Amino acid sequence: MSAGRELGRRAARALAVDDRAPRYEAALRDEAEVAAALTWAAADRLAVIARGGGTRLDLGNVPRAYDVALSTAHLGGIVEYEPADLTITARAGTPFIALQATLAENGQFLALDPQTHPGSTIGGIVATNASGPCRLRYGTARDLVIGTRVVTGNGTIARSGGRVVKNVTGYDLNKLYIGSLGTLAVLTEVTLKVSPRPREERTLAILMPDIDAACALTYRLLRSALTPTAIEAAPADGEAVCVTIHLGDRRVALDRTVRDITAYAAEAGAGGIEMLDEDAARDALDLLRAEPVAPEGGLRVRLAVPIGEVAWAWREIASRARAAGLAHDIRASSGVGVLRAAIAPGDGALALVRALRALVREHLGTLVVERCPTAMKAEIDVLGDPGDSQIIAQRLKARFDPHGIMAPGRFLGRL
Amino acid sequence: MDAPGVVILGAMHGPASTPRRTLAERRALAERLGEIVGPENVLWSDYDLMLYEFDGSIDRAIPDAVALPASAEQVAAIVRLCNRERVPVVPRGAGTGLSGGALPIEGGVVLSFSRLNRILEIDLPNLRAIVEPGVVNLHISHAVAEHGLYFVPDPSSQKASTIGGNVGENSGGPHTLIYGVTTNHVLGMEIVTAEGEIIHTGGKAVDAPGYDLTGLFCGSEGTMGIVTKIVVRLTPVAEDVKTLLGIFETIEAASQTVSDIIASGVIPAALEMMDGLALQAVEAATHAGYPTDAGSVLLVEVEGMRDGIEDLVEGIRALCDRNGAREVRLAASARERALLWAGRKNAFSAMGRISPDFYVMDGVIPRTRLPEVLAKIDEVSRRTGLRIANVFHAGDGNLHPLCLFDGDVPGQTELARQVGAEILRICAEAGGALTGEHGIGIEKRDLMPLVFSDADMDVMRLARQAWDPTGLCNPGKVLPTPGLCLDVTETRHGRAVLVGW
Repeated sequence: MSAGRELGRRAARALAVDDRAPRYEAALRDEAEVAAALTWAAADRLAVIARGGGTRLDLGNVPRAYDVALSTAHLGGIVEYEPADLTITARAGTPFIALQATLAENGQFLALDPQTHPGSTIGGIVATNASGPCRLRYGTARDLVIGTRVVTGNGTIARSGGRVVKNVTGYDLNKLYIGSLGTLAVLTEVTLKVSPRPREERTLAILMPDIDAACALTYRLLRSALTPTAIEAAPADGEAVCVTIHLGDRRVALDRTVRDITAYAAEAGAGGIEMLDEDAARDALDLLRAEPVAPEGGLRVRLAVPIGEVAWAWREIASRARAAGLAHDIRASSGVGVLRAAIAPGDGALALVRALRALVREHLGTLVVERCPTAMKAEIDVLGDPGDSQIIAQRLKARFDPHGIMAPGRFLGRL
Repeated sequence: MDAPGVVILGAMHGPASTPRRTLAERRALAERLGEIVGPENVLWSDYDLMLYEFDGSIDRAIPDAVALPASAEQVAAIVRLCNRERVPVVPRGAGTGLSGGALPIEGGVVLSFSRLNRILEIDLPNLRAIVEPGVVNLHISHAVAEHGLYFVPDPSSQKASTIGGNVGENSGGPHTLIYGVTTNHVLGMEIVTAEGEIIHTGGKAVDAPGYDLTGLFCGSEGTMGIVTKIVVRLTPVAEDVKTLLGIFETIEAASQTVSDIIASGVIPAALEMMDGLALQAVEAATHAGYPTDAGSVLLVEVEGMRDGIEDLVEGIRALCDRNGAREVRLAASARERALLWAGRKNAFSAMGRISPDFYVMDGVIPRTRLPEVLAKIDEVSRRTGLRIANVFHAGDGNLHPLCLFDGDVPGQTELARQVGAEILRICAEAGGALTGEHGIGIEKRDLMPLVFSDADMDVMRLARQAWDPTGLCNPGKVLPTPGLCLDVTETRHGRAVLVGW
């Protein structure tokens, strides 16, 4: 029996990952179909790559094999939503936008704000551990996912966690699936904590003379009584850096927050401070959550460093890219220690990535190449250097995916 | 007065115990351990081992030896020794756990972390600290208090319990409603694996590539390895805090107030409830000013910036009033606030004032099911004649029903166990979970089928085997032995769980 539909050449190309095209597509409508498809794939030793909206498949190493595109795009819908419990359960293929719309009807939202596209699904967002600026206040998928249903690489349907917000019943396998790029199991359902929308929101744009001043202001805020939703840094003219701060609270708290930030910014040498109107604020936040775009053939990297190292990392990226003659664009979630940079194509790009990765490691950080030409993926593990815990990762992979069919080769250490 | 006892559900291991290995075997094991940590840091006489026979539960299991390592390398050497000798290894923090997590039910070596108790680094620029597992939870917050920072998770045991134990159990506490539990505040670890290798997960930075082994390890109850260093997040202390006591005639009115507060878009820092029976005990023990004639009280804490906090307080006060609160009291001073919290945090031990023994449960339910579940628990109490006091984290639906009984009355201990199992069944049927923060341990291991299928548990077993292929680390905990677990569908009122087998 075959659970997949054989693809013509054009259809196969449309589903390619890193220039590899699959032979079959399995577009599944329920969990039992996912289990049947994976059982079939395991029996025939067919390599499966799960996809939601297919918007983040650039992540990861080149798959060693790719036979079946397993789509959860039709496995959607809200399973349970009780607003007073502040939790929602949705099938993996539920569009992120539809999920947020449902929550918005009740004055609530899911506090994950990565860059999304109309097709982005909640399953895809969790499987790639996508996040955005508001993680400063609300955290990431590891803080918001409280339950999952999955099908493992041998076709077993299994649940972890539950629908309650505090739970230590059994192992927290949710954590294992978040960001695992479908290399252990296919997510079929996710339960998440949701949040009430803040009464009011405000967004400030502050011009700082350089990244050091921007990070000094950030740190001042992190040590204060204020609770900003997001603090983001983006380059302005010359060395100048624009710090965008997003706030959500009651009016009286916001008034105080804006007053304090204005004072801190002045102390840190701000060149100007502007309160954005609603439209401008939305545009600014959209821009900040958007991944920086490199020209065709270029690459995008993501660095995670201790928060005190953001300014250092920013300067290293800028000066080394400049020295290599490569145009670049940098953003930083300065409050959480994450930087993203687009780097134009050029001969020195690979050497630059290697040098940066080595440097960042000395400063206790990591560098992931989120997007690059497929040819470059042969030269370097895009996810990083496996550390001394890789033995555990290997054993997890071997047990959850005993036939090696789940996106083989795509994960850290080419697992 | 004797300390009140707590019974647990686990029934596979009998009362009282003698070490599994003979004196000669233990002497030989102790000698080998002594070569690693020094003979003065090994305990193996019957007398010395008695202390390690108990944890916060009343169940008991005696180890063959106790070792007190002073470094990760020593832990690794001990684990390698135990691996060669096929002797189980059980990590133990302060022994305050309530589910039997630190009990060596299959014998073996208990690792005590009283010498691995240093705060290694306080990293202010990165808002992190690196600590050894034996550090007491509250000592982290004390160490960074001068910088206006603290470590958020605050289990009621925090004056004694260690961060290593907190990681093992993924401990919560009253103030985790808005800030999350241990796993949300731990970013990295050094772990000694079941083979005795030292590995590292996560770190000071977020989003370490690869599987989130830090997150998986948190709450694994010592069954995946031994943590030897922990990177924790430090958080600024809020500028202002207000603590309100809402006094109600009925538990329903307080429950409705909880729902109304959440529905108003406010998530307090803590939202605790106690019923009338619990109040009598707490007030007798603590004299915190709780009413002893009320149906229930709500302890609500909001914190944050000074500006706007009065509005929050008034909003919550109005919701209490709307639900017919007899009185709403705002703690007027830090002392009054501390006293209210002392009453709440010592609530379990206060039960000794009104009952010879008690048995605490830790079920979790969706918040909205609170009134219905409480009514069912009340019905169980009426039917069985056992008094049940309710103390719980109402905001996140984490119940702590306390079954009161007298272990000297024949049959009462057994009845308490039955009632406990029945309460967990009610929680499971309401879409909840068996434990919110106390852990599965041995206590609730055989109840796991109430919430998880065989397939669910098989997959959990895969994760455990990846860490510990030979079952060396804290064997017998968390997951029931396949084939031995109860048949849920045929169990009536949980009785099958409790028969000795």
